Amino acid sequence: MSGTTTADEDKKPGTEGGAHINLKVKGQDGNEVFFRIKRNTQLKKLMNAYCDRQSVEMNSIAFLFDGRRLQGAQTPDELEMEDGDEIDAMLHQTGGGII
Amino acid sequence: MAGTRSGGKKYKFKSSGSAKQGKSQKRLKQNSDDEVEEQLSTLVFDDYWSLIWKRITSERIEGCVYYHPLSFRSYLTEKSVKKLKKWVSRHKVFSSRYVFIPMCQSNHWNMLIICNIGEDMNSKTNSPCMFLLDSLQIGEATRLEPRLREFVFHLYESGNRKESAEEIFNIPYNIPSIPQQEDGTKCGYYMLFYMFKFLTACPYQFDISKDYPGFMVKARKQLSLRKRREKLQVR
Repeated sequence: MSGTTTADEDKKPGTEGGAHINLKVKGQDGNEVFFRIKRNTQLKKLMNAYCDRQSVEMNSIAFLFDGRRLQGAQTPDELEMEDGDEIDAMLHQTGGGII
Repeated sequence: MAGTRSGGKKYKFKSSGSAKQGKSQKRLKQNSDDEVEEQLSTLVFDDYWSLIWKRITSERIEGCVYYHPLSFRSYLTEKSVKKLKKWVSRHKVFSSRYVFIPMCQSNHWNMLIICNIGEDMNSKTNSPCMFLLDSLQIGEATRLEPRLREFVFHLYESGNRKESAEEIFNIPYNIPSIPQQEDGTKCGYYMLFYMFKFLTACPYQFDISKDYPGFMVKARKQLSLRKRREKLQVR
C-alpha cells in the first residue's frame, strides 16, 4: 500500500526474545501504520504515536480490537494480542436521528 | 487522511472550551455544540454501556456479548471475516445467549439483538431469532435488514458453523414496537434504555414461541412510511 509508513517504537531489539510484537493500525481510509512494541508496554504509547503521526487529536478517534475499544492502560499481553494483529482506528460518530 | 484531520480539528475546537475562545466565537458555535452534545457520541458510549452492564446482576450478564459500534462500522466498510473470526472465538459468541450489536449509522443509533445464536435452527422453543430495536421507525430497520443478514451470515461463517445459508437467511428478523423518540437527537439514549430494559427483563433462555420480553411488543401492522413521516411532522 502506498500510504504505508513504519514506526519503530523501539528500534533496539530487546534482550529478551519474543518480548516484542508487531501490530498494524488501520485508519478508516485504509491507511496502515505498523508498530513494534514490547508486549508489556501500555498501548497508550502506540495510540499517542499514531495520533502524532496522523496529526489527529487523541479523543477524535477510537482504537478498536476484537470488538472492543482499547484502553490506554492495557497491554498487548493483557489482551493476548498476536504478532501481526490489526487495530482499527475509527473516527468517533454521533447519532441523534435521521430527520 | 484529510477526513481524519478535519474530524480531529473539529473536536479540538469543541473541546477547547469556552475560556480560551472569544465571546463572539462562543456564541456562534453555541447552537451546534448544544445539538451535538444532546446526541450520543461513540466517545462516551463505552462509559454509559459499561455503567449499564455494571448495574445488571452477573447471572443476567452471563452469556451476553457485544460488538462495539465502531468495530461494526469497520466491518461494514471492509467486510473482514478475519476480524469477526477472532471476536467470535475469543468471546465464545456461539455459546452466548444474547449477542448485542449497537450501531451508529447515518447519524442514527439502533441495536440488533441476536438470541440463541448457537442453538438448533429447527428447535421449536429456542431457535435463533433477531430483534432490531429502532427508536425512529420510519423504515431504517427494514432498509438495514439485508446488510444485517449478511453480517449474521458472516458470523456463522466465522464460527465454522454447519448451518446452511438458507437457514441463516431465514432466521426471523423482528422489528418490535417499542417506545419512540420524539425529537431528532435522543436515539442513542433510547438505544441505551432498550439495552437496560432488555437485560433486566429478558428470560434466561429466550423462547420465541412465548411473549416478547419486557417492554417489547410484537409489532402491530406497521404504519406506512408516509404515515409515519406525517405523524412525525405533526409533532
